[in-house]
Amino acid sequence: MESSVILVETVETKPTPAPEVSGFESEAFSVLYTEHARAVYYLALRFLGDPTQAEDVTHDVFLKAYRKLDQFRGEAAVRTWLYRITVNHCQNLRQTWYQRHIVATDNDRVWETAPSPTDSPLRVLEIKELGERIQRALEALTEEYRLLLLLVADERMSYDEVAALTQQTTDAVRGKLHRARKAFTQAFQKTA
Amino acid sequence: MKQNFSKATEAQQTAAQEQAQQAQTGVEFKTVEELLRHDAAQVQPPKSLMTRLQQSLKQEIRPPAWWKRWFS
Repeated sequence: MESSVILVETVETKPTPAPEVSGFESEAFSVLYTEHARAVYYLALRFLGDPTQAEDVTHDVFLKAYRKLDQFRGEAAVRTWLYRITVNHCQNLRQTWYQRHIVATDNDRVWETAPSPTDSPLRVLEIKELGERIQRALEALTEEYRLLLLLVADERMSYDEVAALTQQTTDAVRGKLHRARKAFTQAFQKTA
Repeated sequence: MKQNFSKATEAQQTAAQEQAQQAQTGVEFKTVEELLRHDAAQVQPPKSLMTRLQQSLKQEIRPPAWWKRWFS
Protein backbone atom coordinates (compact mmCIF):
# COMPACT_ATOMS: atom_id res chain seq x y z
CA MET A 1 0.00 0.00 0.00
CA GLU A 2 1.34 3.43 -0.92
CA SER A 3 1.45 6.01 1.83
CA SER A 4 -0.37 9.28 1.94
CA VAL A 5 0.65 12.63 3.38
CA ILE A 6 -1.54 15.34 4.79
CA LEU A 7 -0.53 18.98 4.79
CA VAL A 8 -2.27 21.95 6.29
CA GLU A 9 -0.79 24.75 4.23
CA THR A 10 1.46 25.28 1.26
CA VAL A 11 4.21 27.78 0.58
CA GLU A 12 4.57 29.62 -2.70
CA THR A 13 7.99 29.19 -4.25
CA LYS A 14 9.99 31.27 -6.69
CA PRO A 15 12.48 30.13 -9.35
CA THR A 16 16.14 30.18 -8.38
CA PRO A 17 17.73 33.45 -9.53
CA ALA A 18 20.96 33.00 -11.47
CA PRO A 19 24.23 34.74 -10.65
CA GLU A 20 24.50 38.09 -12.41
CA VAL A 21 27.25 37.61 -14.93
CA SER A 22 27.83 39.10 -18.35
CA GLY A 23 28.99 37.80 -21.73
CA PHE A 24 27.66 34.90 -23.76
CA GLU A 25 29.53 32.17 -21.95
CA SER A 26 28.48 33.49 -18.59
CA GLU A 27 24.94 33.83 -19.80
CA ALA A 28 25.00 30.17 -20.81
CA PHE A 29 26.22 29.31 -17.37
CA SER A 30 23.40 31.36 -15.88
CA VAL A 31 20.93 29.22 -17.80
CA LEU A 32 22.55 26.09 -16.43
CA TYR A 33 22.49 27.45 -12.90
CA THR A 34 18.92 28.68 -13.05
CA GLU A 35 17.66 25.38 -14.36
CA HIS A 36 19.51 23.01 -12.08
CA ALA A 37 20.76 24.80 -8.93
CA ARG A 38 17.70 24.06 -6.86
CA ALA A 39 17.73 20.35 -7.77
CA VAL A 40 21.45 19.99 -7.03
CA TYR A 41 21.12 21.85 -3.73
CA TYR A 42 18.10 19.80 -2.67
CA LEU A 43 19.81 16.50 -3.45
CA ALA A 44 22.89 17.55 -1.47
CA LEU A 45 20.80 18.92 1.39
CA ARG A 46 18.69 15.83 1.91
CA PHE A 47 21.53 13.43 1.19
CA LEU A 48 23.90 15.06 3.69
CA GLY A 49 21.38 16.65 6.05
CA ASP A 50 23.51 19.76 6.46
CA PRO A 51 22.62 23.09 4.79
CA THR A 52 26.18 24.43 5.00
CA GLN A 53 27.64 21.33 3.40
CA ALA A 54 24.88 21.36 0.80
CA GLU A 55 25.79 24.93 -0.10
CA ASP A 56 29.46 24.00 -0.40
CA VAL A 57 28.63 21.00 -2.55
CA THR A 58 26.37 23.01 -4.87
CA HIS A 59 29.05 25.65 -5.27
CA ASP A 60 31.68 23.03 -6.07
CA VAL A 61 29.41 21.13 -8.45
CA PHE A 62 28.71 24.19 -10.57
CA LEU A 63 32.31 25.29 -10.52
CA LYS A 64 33.34 21.82 -11.64
CA ALA A 65 30.65 21.86 -14.33
CA TYR A 66 32.00 25.17 -15.57
CA ARG A 67 35.49 23.77 -15.80
CA LYS A 68 34.64 20.32 -17.11
CA LEU A 69 31.98 20.93 -19.67
CA ASP A 70 34.34 19.72 -22.39
CA GLN A 71 34.12 16.29 -20.77
CA PHE A 72 30.36 16.27 -21.06
CA ARG A 73 29.66 14.16 -24.15
CA GLY A 74 25.92 14.55 -24.24
CA GLU A 75 25.35 10.83 -23.69
CA ALA A 76 23.31 11.64 -20.61
CA ALA A 77 21.07 14.59 -19.81
CA VAL A 78 22.70 17.61 -18.19
CA ARG A 79 20.71 16.99 -15.01
CA THR A 80 22.06 13.44 -14.81
CA TRP A 81 25.59 14.67 -15.40
CA LEU A 82 25.26 17.28 -12.64
CA TYR A 83 23.74 14.69 -10.31
CA ARG A 84 26.66 12.36 -10.95
CA ILE A 85 29.09 15.09 -9.88
CA THR A 86 26.88 15.87 -6.87
CA VAL A 87 26.58 12.26 -5.71
CA ASN A 88 30.33 11.67 -6.03
CA HIS A 89 31.04 14.83 -4.11
CA CYS A 90 28.54 13.97 -1.36
CA GLN A 91 29.84 10.44 -1.01
CA ASN A 92 33.40 11.69 -0.73
CA LEU A 93 32.34 14.12 1.97
CA ARG A 94 30.50 11.44 3.93
CA GLN A 95 33.41 9.05 3.65
CA THR A 96 35.78 11.69 4.98
CA TRP A 97 33.37 12.53 7.79
CA TYR A 98 32.95 8.90 8.87
CA GLN A 99 36.68 8.42 8.87
CA ARG A 100 36.99 11.30 11.32
CA HIS A 101 34.04 10.49 13.58
CA ILE A 102 33.19 7.25 15.31
CA VAL A 103 29.67 7.63 16.65
CA ALA A 104 26.51 5.64 17.20
CA THR A 105 24.20 5.58 14.20
CA ASP A 106 21.57 8.27 13.97
CA ASN A 107 19.00 5.59 13.27
CA ASP A 108 19.02 4.43 16.87
CA ARG A 109 18.47 7.93 18.12
CA VAL A 110 15.51 8.46 15.77
CA TRP A 111 13.79 5.33 17.05
CA GLU A 112 14.51 6.10 20.68
CA THR A 113 13.11 9.62 20.56
CA ALA A 114 10.20 8.98 18.22
CA PRO A 115 6.74 9.14 19.77
CA SER A 116 4.10 6.51 19.08
CA PRO A 117 2.83 6.26 15.52
CA THR A 118 -0.30 8.19 14.59
CA ASP A 119 -3.29 6.89 12.68
CA SER A 120 -1.94 8.17 9.34
CA PRO A 121 1.63 7.10 8.60
CA LEU A 122 2.68 10.33 6.89
CA ARG A 123 0.41 12.91 8.50
CA VAL A 124 1.91 16.38 8.75
CA LEU A 125 0.27 19.10 10.81
CA GLU A 126 2.75 21.91 10.30
CA ILE A 127 4.56 22.61 7.06
CA LYS A 128 7.50 23.93 9.09
CA GLU A 129 8.12 20.51 10.57
CA LEU A 130 7.84 18.69 7.28
CA GLY A 131 11.43 19.25 6.19
CA GLU A 132 12.78 18.12 9.54
CA ARG A 133 10.65 15.00 9.53
CA ILE A 134 11.64 14.13 5.98
CA GLN A 135 15.28 14.60 6.88
CA ARG A 136 15.00 12.35 9.92
CA ALA A 137 13.17 9.69 7.93
CA LEU A 138 15.77 9.81 5.15
CA GLU A 139 18.60 9.53 7.64
CA ALA A 140 17.04 6.36 9.01
CA LEU A 141 17.45 4.74 5.58
CA THR A 142 20.56 3.26 4.06
CA GLU A 143 22.55 5.64 1.89
CA GLU A 144 21.49 3.74 -1.23
CA TYR A 145 17.76 3.87 -0.46
CA ARG A 146 17.99 7.55 0.40
CA LEU A 147 19.75 8.33 -2.86
CA LEU A 148 17.31 6.31 -4.97
CA LEU A 149 14.28 8.00 -3.45
CA LEU A 150 15.75 11.46 -3.95
CA LEU A 151 16.67 10.72 -7.55
CA VAL A 152 13.33 9.24 -8.61
CA ALA A 153 11.50 12.08 -6.88
CA ASP A 154 12.96 14.31 -9.59
CA GLU A 155 10.43 14.08 -12.40
CA ARG A 156 13.12 14.72 -14.96
CA MET A 157 14.88 11.51 -14.03
CA SER A 158 13.68 8.29 -15.63
CA TYR A 159 14.24 4.90 -13.98
CA ASP A 160 16.76 4.13 -16.71
CA GLU A 161 18.71 7.30 -15.93
CA VAL A 162 18.65 6.56 -12.21
CA ALA A 163 19.86 3.05 -12.97
CA ALA A 164 22.71 4.36 -15.12
CA LEU A 165 23.64 6.94 -12.52
CA THR A 166 23.71 4.41 -9.69
CA GLN A 167 25.34 1.75 -11.88
CA GLN A 168 22.73 -0.98 -11.68
CA THR A 169 19.89 -2.39 -13.76
CA THR A 170 16.50 -0.73 -14.02
CA ASP A 171 14.89 -3.81 -12.50
CA ALA A 172 17.22 -3.59 -9.52
CA VAL A 173 16.27 0.06 -9.09
CA ARG A 174 12.57 -0.80 -9.15
CA GLY A 175 12.99 -3.54 -6.57
CA LYS A 176 15.05 -1.41 -4.24
CA LEU A 177 12.68 1.51 -4.62
CA HIS A 178 9.80 -0.63 -3.49
CA ARG A 179 11.68 -1.45 -0.30
CA ALA A 180 12.96 2.11 0.06
CA ARG A 181 9.43 3.53 -0.04
CA LYS A 182 8.31 1.08 2.58
CA ALA A 183 11.28 1.86 4.82
CA PHE A 184 10.76 5.60 4.39
CA THR A 185 7.08 5.34 5.31
CA GLN A 186 7.88 3.44 8.48
CA ALA A 187 10.63 5.87 9.41
CA PHE A 188 8.46 8.88 8.66
CA GLN A 189 5.72 7.51 10.85
CA LYS A 190 8.12 7.27 13.76
CA THR A 191 9.07 10.93 13.45
CA ALA A 192 5.50 12.12 14.14
CA MET B 1 -36.44 36.68 11.27
CA LYS B 2 -35.41 34.50 14.13
CA GLN B 3 -35.49 31.54 11.78
CA ASN B 4 -33.22 33.37 9.30
CA PHE B 5 -30.79 34.18 12.07
CA SER B 6 -30.84 30.57 13.12
CA LYS B 7 -30.13 29.42 9.56
CA ALA B 8 -27.28 31.89 9.24
CA THR B 9 -25.77 30.66 12.48
CA GLU B 10 -26.16 27.10 11.34
CA ALA B 11 -24.46 27.92 8.04
CA GLN B 12 -21.63 29.61 9.87
CA GLN B 13 -21.22 26.60 12.11
CA THR B 14 -21.22 24.27 9.13
CA ALA B 15 -18.61 26.39 7.37
CA ALA B 16 -16.47 26.44 10.50
CA GLN B 17 -16.81 22.69 10.86
CA GLU B 18 -15.86 22.20 7.20
CA GLN B 19 -12.86 24.47 7.67
CA ALA B 20 -11.78 22.57 10.76
CA GLN B 21 -12.25 19.28 8.97
CA GLN B 22 -10.25 20.57 6.00
CA ALA B 23 -7.49 21.66 8.36
CA GLN B 24 -7.48 18.18 9.83
CA THR B 25 -7.43 16.34 6.53
CA GLY B 26 -5.37 18.84 4.48
CA VAL B 27 -3.82 17.85 1.17
CA GLU B 28 -3.06 14.23 0.54
CA PHE B 29 0.10 12.98 -1.14
CA LYS B 30 -0.24 9.56 -2.66
CA THR B 31 3.41 8.59 -2.86
CA VAL B 32 6.71 9.21 -1.12
CA GLU B 33 7.96 10.80 -4.33
CA GLU B 34 5.12 13.33 -4.22
CA LEU B 35 6.04 14.21 -0.67
CA LEU B 36 9.68 14.69 -1.63
CA ARG B 37 8.73 16.80 -4.64
CA HIS B 38 6.67 19.02 -2.41
CA ASP B 39 9.58 19.29 0.00
CA ALA B 40 11.97 20.10 -2.84
CA ALA B 41 9.69 22.88 -4.01
CA GLN B 42 9.99 24.56 -0.59
CA VAL B 43 13.78 24.52 -0.61
CA GLN B 44 15.79 27.33 -2.16
CA PRO B 45 19.57 27.50 -2.43
CA PRO B 46 20.81 30.30 -0.15
CA LYS B 47 21.51 33.68 -1.71
CA SER B 48 25.07 33.57 -0.41
CA LEU B 49 25.68 30.72 -2.84
CA MET B 50 25.17 33.02 -5.80
CA THR B 51 27.65 35.52 -4.46
CA ARG B 52 30.22 32.81 -3.80
CA LEU B 53 29.77 31.35 -7.23
CA GLN B 54 30.05 34.76 -8.86
CA GLN B 55 33.30 35.38 -7.05
CA SER B 56 34.64 31.97 -7.97
CA LEU B 57 33.69 32.43 -11.62
CA LYS B 58 35.45 35.79 -11.77
CA GLN B 59 38.66 34.04 -10.79
CA GLU B 60 38.26 31.46 -13.56
CA ILE B 61 39.98 31.84 -16.91
CA ARG B 62 37.67 32.85 -19.76
CA PRO B 63 35.67 29.76 -20.68
CA PRO B 64 36.59 28.01 -23.92
CA ALA B 65 34.57 27.86 -27.09
CA TRP B 66 32.65 24.70 -26.20
CA TRP B 67 30.28 26.83 -24.17
CA LYS B 68 29.34 28.70 -27.30
CA ARG B 69 29.06 25.51 -29.38
CA TRP B 70 27.06 23.76 -26.75
CA PHE B 71 24.49 26.46 -26.17
CA SER B 72 24.16 27.72 -29.77
